Amino acid sequence: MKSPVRLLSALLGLVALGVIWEGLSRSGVMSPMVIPPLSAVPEAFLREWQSGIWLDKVLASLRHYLIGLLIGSVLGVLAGIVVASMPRVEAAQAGLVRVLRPIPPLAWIPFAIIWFGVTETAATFIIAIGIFWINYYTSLGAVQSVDKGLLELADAFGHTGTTRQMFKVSLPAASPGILGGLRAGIGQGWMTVVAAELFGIPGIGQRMMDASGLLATDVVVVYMLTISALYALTDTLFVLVRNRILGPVHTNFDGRVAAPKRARQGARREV
Amino acid sequence: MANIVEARDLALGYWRDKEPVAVLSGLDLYIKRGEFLTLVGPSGVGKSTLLRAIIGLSRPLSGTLDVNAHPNPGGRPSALVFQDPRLMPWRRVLGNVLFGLEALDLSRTERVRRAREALAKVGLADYEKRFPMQLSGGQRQRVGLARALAVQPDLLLMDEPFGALDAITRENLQDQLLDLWRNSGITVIFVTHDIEEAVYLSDRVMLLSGTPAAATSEHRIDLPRPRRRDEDTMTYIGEIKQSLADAFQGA
Repeated sequence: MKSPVRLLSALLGLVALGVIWEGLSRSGVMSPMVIPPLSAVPEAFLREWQSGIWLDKVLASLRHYLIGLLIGSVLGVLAGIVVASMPRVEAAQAGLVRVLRPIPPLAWIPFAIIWFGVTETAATFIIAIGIFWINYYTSLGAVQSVDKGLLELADAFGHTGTTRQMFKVSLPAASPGILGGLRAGIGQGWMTVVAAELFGIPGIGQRMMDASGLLATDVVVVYMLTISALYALTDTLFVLVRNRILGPVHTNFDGRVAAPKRARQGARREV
Repeated sequence: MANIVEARDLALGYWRDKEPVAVLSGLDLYIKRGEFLTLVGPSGVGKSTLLRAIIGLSRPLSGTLDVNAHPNPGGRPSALVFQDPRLMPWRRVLGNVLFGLEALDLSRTERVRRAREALAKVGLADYEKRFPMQLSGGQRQRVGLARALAVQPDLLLMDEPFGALDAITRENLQDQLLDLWRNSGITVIFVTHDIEEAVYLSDRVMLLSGTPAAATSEHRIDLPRPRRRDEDTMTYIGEIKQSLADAFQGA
C-alpha cells in the first residue's frame, strides 16, 4: 500500500476507536468509572499539568528509564560481543543463560527491594535487567551469524587475528542486528518502567496506581497515553540516529530501510 | 626458480576425529611463472581446496607445497578472487577495493591511488562511490577482481569467478582478464567447471578427478594469443573437450 493511503487508514482507525470509546461512555453502556469518556482526558491532563505533577512524574520516570536503558544497553551489547568472540566462554554461558534468561524483569522486584530498598536505584535495576537480556542476545546472535565467508576473505587478504577481524568485519557486519536489539530494548524499557514504579517508587507507574485507587480513571488514561507518546518519541529519535549510523548501506534502492526482523518483537512480550 | 608453485606428492583435505581425510592426494604440480593454468574437474574434487592451500588458508596433510611468489614491495604474494564476489555490503566500491590494501604497510594516499588504478583496470573507475547492491552481478565480480589486483599479487588465484554470470557478461570478463594477464605478466591459476572457458583462457588445462582426487590428464593449449572466438578456436575446444571427457570417463 502507498504510504499516504496507509497513513490515512491509520488515522481512521484511531478516530474510529475514539468514536466508539466516547459513544460507549456517553450512552451509559459503560459507567465512567469503568471507562472514562475520551472527552474527559484532555481536562484531566490539564489538571495534572497545571499542578506540576505530570512533569514531575514524567521526569522521574524518564530518569529511571534513561539510566536503566544506558546501563542495560551498554552492558548487554558489550557482553554479547565479547562472548561471541570467545567460543569457550560462549559454551560456558549456555547453561547459565538458560536459567537466568526466562526470569522476567519484574520477578526481580523482591530482590531489587531487598538490595536497594524502595528507591529509584531499584527501579533502574529492574529496567536495566530486561534491556540487558535483549541486547545481550541480539548482539551475541548478530556477531555469531556474521558471514563466515567474509572472515575467510579477511584471512585471505592478511587481516588476521580475532580483534582485527572483529573491527574490520564482524562489528560492521553485525551493526544492523545490534542496532535492532537496541531498538527493541528502547520499547521494552517503557513497558518495564511503569511496572517497576507500581510498588511506590515515584514516577508514572506510582501515579497511575494512586489514581486507580481513587477511581480517577481519566488520570490513568492520561498516563497511559503519556507512555505511548514517550515511546513514540524515543523510538523515532533512535530510528533517526540509526539511519544516520547505517547510512544508505542497509537501505534498498529506493532508500527504504530494510524491514526490521519480526522475531525481535517477541522479546517485548515478557512484561 | 622458474616455477612459482611446486607441489610434490601433495595431499590436501581435513581432519576428522584426529584422522586425516584426503580430498586430493599424490598431486605433483609445477606452475611456471607467468603461466595461465586452469584446473577443471567435478564438484568436490578439491580444486578450491588447492587454491586455499596455495594462498595459505589451509595446510597440507602431507607432501610439500612451495609457493615462490615475489610481489613488489607493498604487495601480497597471492590474491584470491571468489566465486561469489564476497563484497562487504557496508563498504562502497572503493572501500571494498581498499580492504586488501589496508593490511599492507602503505600510506592512505597510496592505498587510494592503487585502489583507483585497479578499478580503472576493470573498467569501473566511475563506480567507486556505489554500494555493491547498486551493481550488476558482472560489475560486482569486477570489483572482486579489482580488490585482488590492487594488492599487486605475483600470483592470482580465481575460484570459478565467472560461474554465476550470464554468457555475454562472462565472455566480456574473460577477454578483460586475458588483457590484464598479458599486460601484467602475473601468474594465474583459474578454477572452472566449464571446459570451453578453460581452453579459451589457458596455456595449460589440468583435469582433477577421482576420490581422493589426483591430476588425471593435462593439456597444453597451443592456440595463438590473443585468443579469438573464431571457428578454429571452436574446433580446437571441441577436440580438447572430447579428449578431456574421455579422460574424465576413464578416470
